[in-house]
Amino acid sequence: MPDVRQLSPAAVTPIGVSARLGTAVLALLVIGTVLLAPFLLDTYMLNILIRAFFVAIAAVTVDIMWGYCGTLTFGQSAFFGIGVYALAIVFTEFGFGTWQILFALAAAIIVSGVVAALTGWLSFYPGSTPLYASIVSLVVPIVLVQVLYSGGTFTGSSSGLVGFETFDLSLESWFRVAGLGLASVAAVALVLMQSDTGRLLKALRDNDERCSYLGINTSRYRIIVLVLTAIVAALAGFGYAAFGGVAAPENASFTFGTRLIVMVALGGRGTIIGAIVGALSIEVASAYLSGSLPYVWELIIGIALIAVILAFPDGLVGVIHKLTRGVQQPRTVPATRLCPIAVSAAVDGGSDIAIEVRELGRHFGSLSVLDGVEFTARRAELLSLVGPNGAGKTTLIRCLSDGRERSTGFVAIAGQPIDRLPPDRIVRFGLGRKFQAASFFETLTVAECLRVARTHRARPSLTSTSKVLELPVAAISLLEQSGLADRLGEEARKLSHGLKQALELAMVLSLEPEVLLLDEPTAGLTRAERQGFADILTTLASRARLCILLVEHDLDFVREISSRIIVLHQGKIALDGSVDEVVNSALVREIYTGQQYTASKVGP
Amino acid sequence: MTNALQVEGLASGYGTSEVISDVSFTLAKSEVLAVVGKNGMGKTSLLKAVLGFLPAWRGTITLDGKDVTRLPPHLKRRLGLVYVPQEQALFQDLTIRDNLRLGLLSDRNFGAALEHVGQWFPMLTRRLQQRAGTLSGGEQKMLIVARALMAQPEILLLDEVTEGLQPSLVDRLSDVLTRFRLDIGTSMIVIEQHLPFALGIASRYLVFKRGEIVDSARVDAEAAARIEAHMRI
Amino acid sequence: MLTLILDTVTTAALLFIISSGLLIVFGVMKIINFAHAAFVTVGGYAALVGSRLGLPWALVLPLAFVTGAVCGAVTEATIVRWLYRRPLDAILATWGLGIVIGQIITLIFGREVQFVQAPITGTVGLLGVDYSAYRIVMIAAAIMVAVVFTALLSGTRLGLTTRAVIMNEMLAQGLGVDSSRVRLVTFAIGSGLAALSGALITPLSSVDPNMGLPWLISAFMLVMVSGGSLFALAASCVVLGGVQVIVSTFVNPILGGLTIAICAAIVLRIRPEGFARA
Repeated sequence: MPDVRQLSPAAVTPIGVSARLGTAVLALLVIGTVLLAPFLLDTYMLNILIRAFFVAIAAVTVDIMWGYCGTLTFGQSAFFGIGVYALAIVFTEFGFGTWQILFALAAAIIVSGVVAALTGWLSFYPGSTPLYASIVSLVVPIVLVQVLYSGGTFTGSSSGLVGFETFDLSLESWFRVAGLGLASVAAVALVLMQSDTGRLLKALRDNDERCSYLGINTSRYRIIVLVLTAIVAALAGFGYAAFGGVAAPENASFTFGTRLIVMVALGGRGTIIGAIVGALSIEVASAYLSGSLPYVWELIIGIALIAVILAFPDGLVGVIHKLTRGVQQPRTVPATRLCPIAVSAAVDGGSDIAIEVRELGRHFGSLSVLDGVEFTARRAELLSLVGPNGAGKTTLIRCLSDGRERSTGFVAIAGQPIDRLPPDRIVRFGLGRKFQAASFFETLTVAECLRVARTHRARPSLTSTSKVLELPVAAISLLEQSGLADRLGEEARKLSHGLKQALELAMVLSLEPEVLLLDEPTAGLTRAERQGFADILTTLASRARLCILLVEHDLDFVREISSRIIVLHQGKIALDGSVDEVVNSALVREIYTGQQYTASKVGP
Repeated sequence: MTNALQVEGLASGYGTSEVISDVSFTLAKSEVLAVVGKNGMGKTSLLKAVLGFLPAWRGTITLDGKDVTRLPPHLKRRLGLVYVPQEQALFQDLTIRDNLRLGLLSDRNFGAALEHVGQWFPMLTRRLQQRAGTLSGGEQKMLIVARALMAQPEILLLDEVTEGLQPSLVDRLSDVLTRFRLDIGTSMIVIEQHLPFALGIASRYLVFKRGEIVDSARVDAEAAARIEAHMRI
Repeated sequence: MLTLILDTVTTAALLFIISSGLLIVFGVMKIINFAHAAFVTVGGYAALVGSRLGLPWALVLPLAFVTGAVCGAVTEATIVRWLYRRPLDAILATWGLGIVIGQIITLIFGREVQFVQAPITGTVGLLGVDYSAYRIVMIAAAIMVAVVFTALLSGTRLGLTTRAVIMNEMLAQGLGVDSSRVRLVTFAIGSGLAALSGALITPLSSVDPNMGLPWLISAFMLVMVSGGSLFALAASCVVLGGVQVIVSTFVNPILGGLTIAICAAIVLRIRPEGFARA
């Protein structure tokens, strides 16, 4: 039985109980408002609000894609439009009835899902950039609108479709349906985004590369989120057309798509509530003001957008947050407990060879950064890679961790050839890579960073944040030793340089790697921190039997902890031997104390 | 006479990581100061901080009596502070001529400066239209130095300028720099792994270790031995 | 057949003139200016004002350029300057600016479509085909723009410092180049070019507050595909413009309007750096 140790102070506080009560009260208030409001509002306002609710649902999907996942998408309007037209076309062609409703719903869901999957495949792939994803998201609604224009009477071309028979509900009923729909979407979105899965999405946004190197297939996650949000947006469009009885190409347009972004930006991105506030405010204000001052209203929106981007990036919700900060109670987050898990013992009889490199080369045209590199490393070895600037050390690390990087040669990690596989697949063979500049997730807390690091070993929850963090013993002892165990609730970006390095290493150790690649881990550390690091690394190699490959400039550090040193010079291995052999060689002294070294001289 | 460069209590770094701590030194006019130390100890960061590419968190930088701590790099250049970086010091896709043009602040006296430079580096002035990226490593270094000297700098900051140069060119460089110091009075800070070269032109040296100065003395017969002791593996 | 070729070349010329301003800005600052369409519109209205005042076309064009350049300089100094590290936010902020400019123009000039008389009317007999004379002039204009800019970039000191900033900003700063000023001037010139193109295209269609918008997406995609090289942009305009003309003529004009966007998206998927020299 793993023993659960409570390492952080303060257990569940009374606030924890009130939080749940508070949420329940809030939910009741919202539902009550939605049910009772129709009695208090006039017809015009009800009309506007119903439309606004459906638009707000679409805005929430934009917030999830942009605020949480980090993709600036102009294309959610296309999916909204698909929902609109699915209903309009089916009802126009086939009339109104039960099977027509079901058919239209199915069409909305399936078409939007397929288009989203295609769009996702085009936008999200290893090596794609956020800018490219934005570009594709821009093209989709434009293409869709043109398809609508060229659809003749089937789609109504530029006039759209009107006059089809639709649901016969009273205005008040529509209000309740739309209002509760929005409330449910908001509730589900909030729960999801506050859960561990939501944190994972934020991690994707903060540092895509780090996620790949934690074994997470970032493209797949993004595509899944896109498909799901697309379906929700399509359903919102479905409702919009069902109420309004009109389908127009503007509902699917790029202009509408940018309108949604403006709503999220003004309301406050990354909060869900912000999207709703933004959407409702703008829809209502537009309806009232665009009649009397049409151009001035648009002008105000344009100015507001610029102001928000420059000065108030967190939007209206952010501003309110700042103003009420003095009034709010400080939120006590329930403490996270660390729980060690036993790492499965290395398979006996399995090969001891952790890294195998044969004939490795990396060329850029005629420039050869690495040439003919060949070596083998075993478990429990602590191997240091040294060499002057430009020798190719970081390039070698890249070639070991990313199958697409090398030009020629063979690499196997933990016995598995890496071929042309991307980093997230290689990490799952048992590789962990720590970057030179501490690479983690800026907006997450220490505990959340570690939780994300465990993703490929333990699926994150969709509905909650785990209070217990199960980590390998090595990671936990690192957290205790560095003092991070007492600071699990702190935001990662506020940590000192040395602690950031420790956090990243703890995240990498959470992968339970067999092979560890470290790129200049002691850069910028104090003497004490370096000593602590040295102890941790030697323990990992000897007790956990990790194979550790370390790139370093600090030769004292190297001499202290390595069992073997490889000297890289001008892209080739100049020396590969025990610490004594290498340290005392004339060659190394030449390289490091500045006498002329020519490539023809090899060996001590 | 004021010092060409005076640095007091300088501290700087990247993000939350402090790479230079409490560094103080002076550079007199016409003096050459060698900065030595093992790789990754912060020497390049020191130059970057002096130039303004890294923020000065604490301390002051004074150029010929003028406080320039907050001055951006391009304005420091206008005061005669010329930098020869270790990496990416040339525009590979520009011609030799264009690279040299950028050594001056305007095209006004380019012709005269070019002739002057042509005396020490004739092979450059013969092939002005050639793309800099097609030159050999040694020739590129020469181009970089030529460009730096075009402007007749007040202070020259050289970062590992001899890296990759064959011995004959290193000697040549030594001569050129000494001539400049004597003719124009250029002061220099020279970061070097190549000790014989550095100690050959410098009159004082600093040993840099982990962002701090650990030794500072005049160059004399024992200097090399003292420095090697610091750098011993 | 000849008409087809001429159509391709004039379409390419038009696209080139409109995209070149966007390219210059993107090449130097890696920022996409979504207000580009608004600057095109500004140029169109400058031409409208100029022709209403009875100015000769030789004055109208520089007027448009200067108006655009001033707008661009103000934009860079007040908005874009703060967003160099946030390129996606820069897209949004400039989009907001585009809205603002569009609305101000509407408030001043009204929403109706207006017309500007072309300086050269009628057709020209070319190898047996009668072709619009003004369209032929477009080709000349495009070539002139390309020539002037290449000359500026390679001949002048400003061109040299701009190229230096594009290649390695830190090195340029160390050599005394004021990179902020280079950016300001570049943005101004890019915006001036946008306005100039707006003035040039008004005789072909019309002037309304949203005239620039349809060009924005095509220009944007062409700039992305060209990867920052003026020559690659010209080539892309010819190739993709040609595809657009062919699809419009033989398949469907509406689909034709999509070809550039779709082709560009596919090209970028295969080769993210575009057509620029590797």
